[in-house]
Amino acid sequence: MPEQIRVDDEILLQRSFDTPAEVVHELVHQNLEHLGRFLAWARPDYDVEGVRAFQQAGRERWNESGEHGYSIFYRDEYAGAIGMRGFDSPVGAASIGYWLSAHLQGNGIMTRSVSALIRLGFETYDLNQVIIRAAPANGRSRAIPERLGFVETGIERQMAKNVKGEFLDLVIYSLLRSEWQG
Amino acid sequence: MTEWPDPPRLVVVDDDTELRPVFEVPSETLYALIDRNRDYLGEFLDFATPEYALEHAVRYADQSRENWGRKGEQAYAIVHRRRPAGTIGMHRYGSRNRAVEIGYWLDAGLQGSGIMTRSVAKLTEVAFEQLGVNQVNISADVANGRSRAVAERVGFRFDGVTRQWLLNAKGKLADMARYSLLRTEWEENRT
Repeated sequence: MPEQIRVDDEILLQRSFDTPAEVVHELVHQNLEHLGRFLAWARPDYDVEGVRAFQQAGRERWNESGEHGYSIFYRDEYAGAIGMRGFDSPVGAASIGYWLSAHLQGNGIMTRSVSALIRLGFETYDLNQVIIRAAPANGRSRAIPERLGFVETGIERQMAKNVKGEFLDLVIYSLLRSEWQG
Repeated sequence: MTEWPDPPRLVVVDDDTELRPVFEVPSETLYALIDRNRDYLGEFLDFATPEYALEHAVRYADQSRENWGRKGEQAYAIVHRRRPAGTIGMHRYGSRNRAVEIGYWLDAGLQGSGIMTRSVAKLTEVAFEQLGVNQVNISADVANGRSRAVAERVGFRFDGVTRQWLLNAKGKLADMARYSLLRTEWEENRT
């Protein structure tokens, strides 16, 4: 996938490992409480070294397993992250995951970013479907696939953990190429 | 628990039925069984294509030997009255939380006798009690009523569908019904 994706005038996606680890670390720490409800890695001890290790793994996955992680910039400000994986799926099914800083929610940033990746996936990479998973109680995250016309097809029970180590179910949404409105 | 204990080499299902590593059964025998069931298996599974040959069965056995016990993966032959009757296997499902998925098929001529239901129940017990998994998953083509009935009889819960998920041997992109059984539910059912 491209190193950089211009979503629109306000939003730019850039390979996640091109963002300075300190910048990622700072925003994650501003959002620890917000992120920790639904993500296992958003721990108080997640330090700059931890971010670097994650970025290095992301660089390897980018090259080797076709998993692509991007930083989201909103009006030049680092706002969160979005990633897509599953390009090696034998049935052309890729999944998208994301997080956004709490202070930037409500601007349609994530909906526009997800929409751009879906377009790229269907138009350029010949995907057959895109899948999004979100915890049942994560209403904001769920609103994105719902807004974009995804179909809720079921749940995966206890397939994720939050920062406290508690199991979370995941609601599964999917959008088939044949359903995509462009 | 992060280590995966070695899976048992022999699982006794009932007086007539046992599970043995698939590589301990002659590949010729397994291939003959698949060949006989090719048309029916191809409706719901990906491997039983018209091109499936003995060499594929040999390769499958070799891979199963190599992956045996590695991170929750193991493939058994179902041996019924000393004859291979099908296979049942387990592999990791998802990247964390110690979940496995069980997959299976049975000789069409032996269906309806409860062999598969008992085999799945037994392997589920092995997964929870010997391998320490947190959950067991099963997925089956939504149109495969027999396979779904096995999961339902063993007490698995229907979690929904993943759409267009398996390219079967007939070239059809099938929707899969997904089932899961959690350790907590398993323990509850036991008492």
